[in-house]
Amino acid sequence: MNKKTSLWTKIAPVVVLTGICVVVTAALALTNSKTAPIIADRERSAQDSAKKVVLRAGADFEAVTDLKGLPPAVIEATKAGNGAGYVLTVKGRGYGEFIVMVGVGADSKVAGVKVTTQNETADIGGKLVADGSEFMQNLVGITDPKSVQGVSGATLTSNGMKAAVKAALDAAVILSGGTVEVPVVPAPEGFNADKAAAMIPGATFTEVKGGMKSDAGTIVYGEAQGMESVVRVAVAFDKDGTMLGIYAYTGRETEYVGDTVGEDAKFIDQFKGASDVDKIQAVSGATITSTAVKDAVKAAIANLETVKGAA
Amino acid sequence: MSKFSLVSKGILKENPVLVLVLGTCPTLAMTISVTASIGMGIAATLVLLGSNIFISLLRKIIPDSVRIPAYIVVIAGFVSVVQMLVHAYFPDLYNALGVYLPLIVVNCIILGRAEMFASKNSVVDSALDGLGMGLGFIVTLVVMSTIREVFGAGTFAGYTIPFLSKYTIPILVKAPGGFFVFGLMIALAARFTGTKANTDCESCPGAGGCGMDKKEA
Repeated sequence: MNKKTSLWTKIAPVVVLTGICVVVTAALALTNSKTAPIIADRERSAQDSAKKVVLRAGADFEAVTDLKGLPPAVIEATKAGNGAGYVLTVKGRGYGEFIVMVGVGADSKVAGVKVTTQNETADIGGKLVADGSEFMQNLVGITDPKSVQGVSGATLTSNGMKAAVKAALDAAVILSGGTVEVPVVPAPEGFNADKAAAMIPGATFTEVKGGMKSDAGTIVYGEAQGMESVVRVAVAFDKDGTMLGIYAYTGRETEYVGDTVGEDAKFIDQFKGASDVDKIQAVSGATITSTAVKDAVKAAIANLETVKGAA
Repeated sequence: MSKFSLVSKGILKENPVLVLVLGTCPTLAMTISVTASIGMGIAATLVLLGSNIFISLLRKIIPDSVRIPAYIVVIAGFVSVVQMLVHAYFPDLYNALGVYLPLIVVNCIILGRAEMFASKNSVVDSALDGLGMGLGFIVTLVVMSTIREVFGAGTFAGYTIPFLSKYTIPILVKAPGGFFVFGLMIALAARFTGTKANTDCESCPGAGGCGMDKKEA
């Protein structure tokens, strides 16, 4: 046994623990450097073959980097280099949140659908979105999800899936240079001419489909699914398209949690002059409602040009 | 204790799952499938072997006051290395094990053997003990998963069994069934070894630092 000095007994724990940590870290770094490229390669080819599942004719997939102007639910877009169409990854909301890949062919028809992550009720919505289910098969080959019947007893999941497919179809149209018809979004509850005047002082407004026009600026309505209700916003833009501020109605969200997000000044003020909605900080404890407000604002931004030109 | 008995005790007399009652979470979770059980068993055994050897090598250097953090760093390190290797070279196994692969870090068998054996015995003995415990773990998992998969799902390692697949007992592949089978196996093991399973405070690996002062709640 070594003679232990009292100094050693004092510093031994620190030295030994640090030494062990250094050795273990080195081993981890070494293993990671060897395995990380293999894992990355595998993920990439899994992603590619996953894309082929929904767009069998596709090849040479390249990611679309600019998602501006696409429906906010579309989180990823890939173009098939051989002109076979697009693969869109859409984040949808059924009973829970799910992610679905939709392949849209060059003929603007749905080429394939595959749910990659979902949290639906096991035997109800879950069965609906399983590969090969009748509902999923009905979605292939359509141009308008309204033609597909939902499944009774699984309303939320059916509607969520149909909305996701619609977003994918719209995205494909936009990516190939077309325009999509804007659904008429109603004004948020509690929004009236006085509130509009407060957002763009001195303007005289004419009401149009989806918003209000004036020479001093435009107000565009947007909506997105929140926790318990559809959250609607009115976004004010000045003549140059800079966001002046928003009015959001969240009164039907979870009591005491999300329902006051629309009145939270600290949150709403962030939108004044904001250029990147994603950087806006959500209200802590009310993430889903805050995200819905942000998504609704993004939808309004996407509709700005359409409302400006509307009658 | 002879070298052979060091290994063999882990298989029945001191079976980590059925007698020492350690590592019950992965046992209950993985035994719904024979292939997943074998994969988990091998992964856990590799970690156990590595950590026992390493901790035994360092047993005279690690001061008593920091032994638990030191063991955990070593074990977590080994698990992370195994995790990266499995992810890179056995991706199907990686997907099958899912979250239970990183959970090997808190698998009581590993921390338990580090505390109960590797910290007090030679490197060779500790390696043999790790091997024995690992084998016992694998054997238990395979036996239990055979019962649950064959009678619960009518398949064995994914292959459908012609007659049984028509008359399955689905509860066996859910949590309650898992506990039934587990309890029965503990009882059987107690019968064969003539000892009682370790459900008292003294034999828990956390006894050294237990906040309950070694008294049951």
